[in-house]
Amino acid sequence: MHPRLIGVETEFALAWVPREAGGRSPLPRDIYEVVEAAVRAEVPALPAAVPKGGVFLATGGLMHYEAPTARFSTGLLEMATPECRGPLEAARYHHAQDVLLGRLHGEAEFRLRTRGFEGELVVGKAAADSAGNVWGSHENYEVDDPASVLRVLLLALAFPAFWIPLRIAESIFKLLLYSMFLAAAASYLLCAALAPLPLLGRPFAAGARGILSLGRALVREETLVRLMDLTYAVTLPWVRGYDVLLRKAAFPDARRLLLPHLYTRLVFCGPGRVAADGATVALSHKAPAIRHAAGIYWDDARRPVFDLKNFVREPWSIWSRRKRMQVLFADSNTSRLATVLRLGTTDLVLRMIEAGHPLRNLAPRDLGEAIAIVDGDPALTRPIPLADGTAMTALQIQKYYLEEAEKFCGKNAEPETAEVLSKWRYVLEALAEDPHLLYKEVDWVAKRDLVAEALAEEGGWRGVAKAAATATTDGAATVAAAQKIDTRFHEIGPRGYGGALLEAGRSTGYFDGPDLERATREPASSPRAKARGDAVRRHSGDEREARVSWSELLLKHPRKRVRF
Amino acid sequence: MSQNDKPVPSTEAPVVAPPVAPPLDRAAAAIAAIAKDAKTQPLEYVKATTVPGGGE
Repeated sequence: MHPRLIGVETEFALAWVPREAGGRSPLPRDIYEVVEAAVRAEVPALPAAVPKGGVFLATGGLMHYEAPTARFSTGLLEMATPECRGPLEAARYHHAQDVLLGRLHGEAEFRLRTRGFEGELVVGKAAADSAGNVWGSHENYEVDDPASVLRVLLLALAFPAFWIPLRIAESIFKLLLYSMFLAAAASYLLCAALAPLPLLGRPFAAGARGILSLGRALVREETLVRLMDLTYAVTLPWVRGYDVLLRKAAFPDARRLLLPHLYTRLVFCGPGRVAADGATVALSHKAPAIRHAAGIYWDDARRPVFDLKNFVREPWSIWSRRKRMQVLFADSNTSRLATVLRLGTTDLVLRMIEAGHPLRNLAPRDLGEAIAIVDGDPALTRPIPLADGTAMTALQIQKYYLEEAEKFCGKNAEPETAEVLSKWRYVLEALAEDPHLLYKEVDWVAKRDLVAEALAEEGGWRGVAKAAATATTDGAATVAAAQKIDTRFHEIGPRGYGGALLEAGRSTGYFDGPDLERATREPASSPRAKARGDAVRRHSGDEREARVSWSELLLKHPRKRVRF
Repeated sequence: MSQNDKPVPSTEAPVVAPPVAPPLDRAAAAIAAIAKDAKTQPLEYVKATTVPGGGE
């Protein structure tokens, strides 16, 4: 059994394309409700006892609506796999989510049409839209990270200075907010009760109306945005301080050695993106949004490669030897082999780091520069300047990690590792020879070829670039067609281009259909995922009586908590 | 050749082998369908699939 727990959290865009221009569309929040209802009708599920709500499925995984409070109506669908044993199981459960959503797409679309919406449901797996809004498919790895005495000392001294005031500031703010709402509600009730009184009632009636209009103003989105900004401003000094502390304390060595792998693995797991000039394919949706190596992801302008936010939510976990490493710089893949390699190669590099296998420090001179070079280089030939004064291409860096992994694993690697190593070598050799060889396996190659072929009458990529440079209506339509291919390539359901290519034998499925089918209904093999999945299956017809969290089953009658 | 030896014109339609369909290239058909769909109201699709919300 693979020793590492791996999980993937993937966000899906929910949209509606009306049949007629200007037609009515449901909001993403409404679409989510319909999709969740269709999932619950399809597989066993139980309400989730977690802050963001949603439902746990019989796999042990979670689906929920993901949206910031300030933009609550226009959020995303998030599907989290259960904790899986190893990269292959995690990749299988990840793509089983696509299978499940694809299977119930028609039912969800039908339900929305019965509500009077004419058009098409879009469940999008691309990690960005054409306007540059970005989300993703975040990876979680359980990592062995023994702390030195110095780090423990640093944590013991600095932790209370940042984390405790941060939580106190947040709590005070929330308390004030709730008190304000409670006071307003109580005043309204009082005014409404006294309003009918003769003579004295008139000012109370006016008061009730005033409170009501104030309440309406407060629940407007822009007011909520301002309140969120205020919370952010209040807590920011402590967040920054805690952030500095965490960067020193949470797997500093592992992050340093893993980082070059994460931005160069785009050569085989980049989903592809129609670049802003329309002239060529870039490798990643997520790359342009990444700003720094590690930190607490607190606002969209400062997205890190490694997100340390889980140490704000679960501060005690910073003290444990095995910690959750969250990789935020991760795109969604339509290619199943790309997902296997994304998780499998990262797991292998982590294994080398944990075992103390000597690895060269390939830190880039400038992270932003390095990411931009890899993202914008489909020819895979541009050298990346490194901190030590040398330079390597992304392919050379990947080849270095592969060769070290082969040395580390030796000739007797167990089957799962041998599979990852063999596929890793296969894709790197093919990319070095001619990326086109991987048109069935690598998303960005498939997408680049698809734009060229589907828009051949418009002149392929050159035609799109020319169209982008002109301001004509036809030009705008050609650029939009390329952007539509970019997005619809990853769409789940009958209209997704990636799925159509898979059905036509133009891309590789990797997993067997029955294996994926099982992974939509059966729990993953880790003990906690299995216990959770079994609990969901056992109580799924009894939603009023039972709820599930990541760590326990909560029963109402008799009141009982069962830990997994 | 006597008159009797001459072949009698048949009243039946000649047996012609049914036309053989060219091998179906499923990938080419899929790409043709994608090309058609991609050019159908692309601006409307791009606009409708813009999602300003979210938050990871």
